[in-house]
Amino acid sequence: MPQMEFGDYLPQLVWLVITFAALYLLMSRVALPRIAEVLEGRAERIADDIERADQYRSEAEQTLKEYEILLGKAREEGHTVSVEARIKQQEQAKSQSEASENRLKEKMVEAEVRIQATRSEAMAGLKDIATEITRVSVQRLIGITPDERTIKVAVEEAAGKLKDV
Amino acid sequence: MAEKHSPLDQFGINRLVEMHIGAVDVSFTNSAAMMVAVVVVATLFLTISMRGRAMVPGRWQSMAELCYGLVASTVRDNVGPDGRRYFPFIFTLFIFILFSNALGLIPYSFTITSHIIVTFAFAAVVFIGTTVIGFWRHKLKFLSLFVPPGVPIALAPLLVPIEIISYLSRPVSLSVRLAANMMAGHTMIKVFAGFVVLLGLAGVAPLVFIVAIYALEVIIAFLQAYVFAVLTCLYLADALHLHHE
Repeated sequence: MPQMEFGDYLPQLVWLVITFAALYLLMSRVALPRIAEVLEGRAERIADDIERADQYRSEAEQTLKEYEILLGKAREEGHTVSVEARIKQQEQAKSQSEASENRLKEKMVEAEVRIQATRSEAMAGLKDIATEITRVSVQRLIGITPDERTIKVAVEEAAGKLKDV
Repeated sequence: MAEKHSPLDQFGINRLVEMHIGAVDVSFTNSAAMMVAVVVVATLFLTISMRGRAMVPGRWQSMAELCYGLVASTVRDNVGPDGRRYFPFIFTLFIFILFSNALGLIPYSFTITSHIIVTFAFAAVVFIGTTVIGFWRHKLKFLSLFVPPGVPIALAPLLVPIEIISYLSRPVSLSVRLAANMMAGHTMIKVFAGFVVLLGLAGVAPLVFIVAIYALEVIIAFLQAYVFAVLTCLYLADALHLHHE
């Protein structure tokens, strides 16, 4: 069994020490720092990127907040404006309707006055006609021309009786 | 010729260049040649792959970074933050054993770690190193490692010797595990390779078996290197933190 050849132990150990020491130096001085540098660089880069992303996100959140505040303000303003407009409109409508009502009332009063005047005029005209008819019909019936005053009295009486009916 | 067919022949040490310093035999052997190859291949792998220092790694750079990350996380998880200064040593140990195991799988090459003297040298360095670190850090309090916490004092006479024996057997188990794994796998492949030749056409069966075993050996080559590194971390953690954690 070659593993038990004690004479071969020493050269193996000597070269093992030499090569292992060489590998240790190469690893610790050259290879490991290089790998560590790359890994650290990458970790830093990733951390940087994450930090930047965080910053962007907080900025976006800030913007969103501002936007929401603005939106709320605008909404409030809009509400106020619409409420004011409604009140104004209501007032305007009220005053307009009042004005037109007043105008209508005036016109109604005027019309009543006119109707009254027309009616009394018509009544006066009617009495004249009634007097004329009475005089003519009495003359024709009985051949006597009645006294103007008597006729008027009779017409007034009849008109008064008519009014009572 | 009969000697050449022995499955153990592949583990033979051949002196390529005879050298002596005084009475000391420092001959450059096939084992030494593989050690040099390990250093060269490992160094080239870990430096050329990182040459681009790419932010987004390619295949080779990914592998190098994975090696680094694997050992770094093993040290971090098992030893803690004060294990950082021992990281280069554990990394070198892992890479040396990994490449020894892996290069040994190339046909006609030689597996350094199939020799118990080599694995025992690693284990001895780990064992002596962790013991020295333990005593240096905790002085005589390091001996409390042999008294398991939360155990009645009456049991101490029984448990302390067991703990001491288990502590002393660490380098043995560490070295034998690696060397035996390497040796067993390679021997088995060689034995079945002999069957392939002997059985002629029916040799397809052992050939298929060899392919499967070879795949298993590739896994074992990595796994044993990792196990060695993990156990080294655990022993180091014991030395640094005693029973705490």
